[in-house]
Amino acid sequence: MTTIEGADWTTYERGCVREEMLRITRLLDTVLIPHLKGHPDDEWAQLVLGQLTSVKTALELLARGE
Amino acid sequence: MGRVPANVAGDLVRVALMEARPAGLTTRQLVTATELSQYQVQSGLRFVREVLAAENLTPLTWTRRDGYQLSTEPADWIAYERACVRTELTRIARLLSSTVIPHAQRLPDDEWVQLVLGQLTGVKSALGLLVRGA
Repeated sequence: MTTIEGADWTTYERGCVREEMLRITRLLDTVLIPHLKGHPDDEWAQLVLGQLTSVKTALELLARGE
Repeated sequence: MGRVPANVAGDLVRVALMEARPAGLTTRQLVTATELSQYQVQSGLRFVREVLAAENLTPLTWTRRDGYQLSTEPADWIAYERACVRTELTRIARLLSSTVIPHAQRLPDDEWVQLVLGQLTGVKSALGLLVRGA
């Protein structure tokens, strides 16, 4: 019983993590990267790009179930 | 208008947004300006966001006050980015408190959920740092 419950929970969490990963990816591709291409020296955008890239990697690993 | 390909809708939306500069346009105003349906405007907005924004190096932003905007001001992009990061922080914090933390407490030996807890806690800190405007 506990095992089944745990498995359902995991499936749900993995789905949520995957959705967040896609949202972060879209934000990077459609906003941050165009921003930085136009203004490569913008320190705020560089910081956000760096942080969100590592967030994306962490979420990708979880969504894949590793 | 009948069937309109996404790239055509996207171009109509882009032109309307550029003409409105520096103001923005709501979905309703875009429908009026382009004579497209609401659905076609949505598809056009998606095209602007995913294709034209990258080509023209102008991100499509949205705010409750101004609607959709193709601003040329980096300050507007930064405000939008900060708002998006804040939304993500809220979503991750909610996922943690409503699901992951209760799960991890119930099944302390479940390695996977402990990993998720650790990683998402780190994600939350990273987003919190950005929102606070470090």
